[in-house]
Amino acid sequence: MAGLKQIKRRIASVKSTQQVTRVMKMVAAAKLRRAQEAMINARPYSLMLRGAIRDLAAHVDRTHHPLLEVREVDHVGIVVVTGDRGLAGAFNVNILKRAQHIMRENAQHQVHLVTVGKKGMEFFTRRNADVTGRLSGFFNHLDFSHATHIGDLITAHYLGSTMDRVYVVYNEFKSALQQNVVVEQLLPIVPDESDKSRADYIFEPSEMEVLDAILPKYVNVQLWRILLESFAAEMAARMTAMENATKNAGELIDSLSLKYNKVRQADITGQILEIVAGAEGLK
Amino acid sequence: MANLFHVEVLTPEKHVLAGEIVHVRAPGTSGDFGVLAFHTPMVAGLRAGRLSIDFADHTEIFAIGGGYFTVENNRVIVLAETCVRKQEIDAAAARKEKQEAQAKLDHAETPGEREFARAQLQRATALLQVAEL
Repeated sequence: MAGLKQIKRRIASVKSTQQVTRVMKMVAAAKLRRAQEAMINARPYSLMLRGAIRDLAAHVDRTHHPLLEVREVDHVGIVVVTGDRGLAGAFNVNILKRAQHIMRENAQHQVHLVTVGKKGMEFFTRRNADVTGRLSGFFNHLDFSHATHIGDLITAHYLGSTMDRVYVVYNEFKSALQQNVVVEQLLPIVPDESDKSRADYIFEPSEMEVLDAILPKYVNVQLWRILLESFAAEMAARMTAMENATKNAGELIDSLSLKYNKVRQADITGQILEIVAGAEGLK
Repeated sequence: MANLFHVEVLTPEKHVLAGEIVHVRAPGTSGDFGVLAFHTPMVAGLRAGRLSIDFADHTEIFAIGGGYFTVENNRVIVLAETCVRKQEIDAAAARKEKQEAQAKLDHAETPGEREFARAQLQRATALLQVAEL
């Protein structure tokens, strides 16, 4: 039977762990609120732009612009969006598993990875995968320039034919309790051809130039949305994970306290027996 | 009474403005242009510069950092990469950013870096121009 002292020490250590997990949960909750707000603010822009692109793509010849053109696939690019830190339940693991799955599916092609977030970078670097782009450490001060940075990198690879098709794997923010792993094709752009009854537009200055200006932006804006979603999802996942950890720590403390009291009582009983026996002996 | 039409200005970070206006003047990639009500459908690229919006009773001026402009059915949508109201421009910060961008442009090694620095420089320049108007 463990001594009283050890049990007491154990309880103290679990309590301090619980303190940490509780604080982490609160921090995640606060960040989640901000991340959700940013997501909501970004949504109208992203929706408007997507609408505009779809309108355009539907009545423009796809071969007019390389970002719309469907090519023979040789090189596949996969953008893997993970978090910078762990302690978020299955948040990172799910992404990494899915990314590996896509890699296997595309084994006949050359697969290049772009990792966003430290966890993915470490994971694939350790496995000697072909990582062409590594970006991390910006989730806490996320702004649009980070999305632009990733987007420009991918667009450059795509235009240089070092990637013929690009997927993004990320956690979609469903609700504070649910995150879904999503795989999206980023390039070539998939237009929605359902609505062809559009008015004829004037292109200013010209169709090519407008497409040139807007299509790379589409990629950046999609990535921006994805980064915001992933960050919100990460915070939600961490919040849940830390909530559970706090609860588990509480249960552990309860059962340790019970054990502590039992041992203490057994001790006291033992002592009383000794005293009684001693007193008996003196009679 | 002049004809009114609807305008919305959006950036990736926020919804800047929505309202009924008389006239909008925007910095197109090949020169500034103005749009009045009942304009024919148009899509245009925007460069960094000055966006001015005339409401029935007042005018608002913004510095935008490039973007995209559409008109359709008396509805104008401006999708700007950045958009700052004239009154909210921090000229000192813009001046500093301009210098930084210039330095970055001078030391850029890859075409990507150069492009990025150039865009930053244009944004900062537009901010300053609008601030000093």
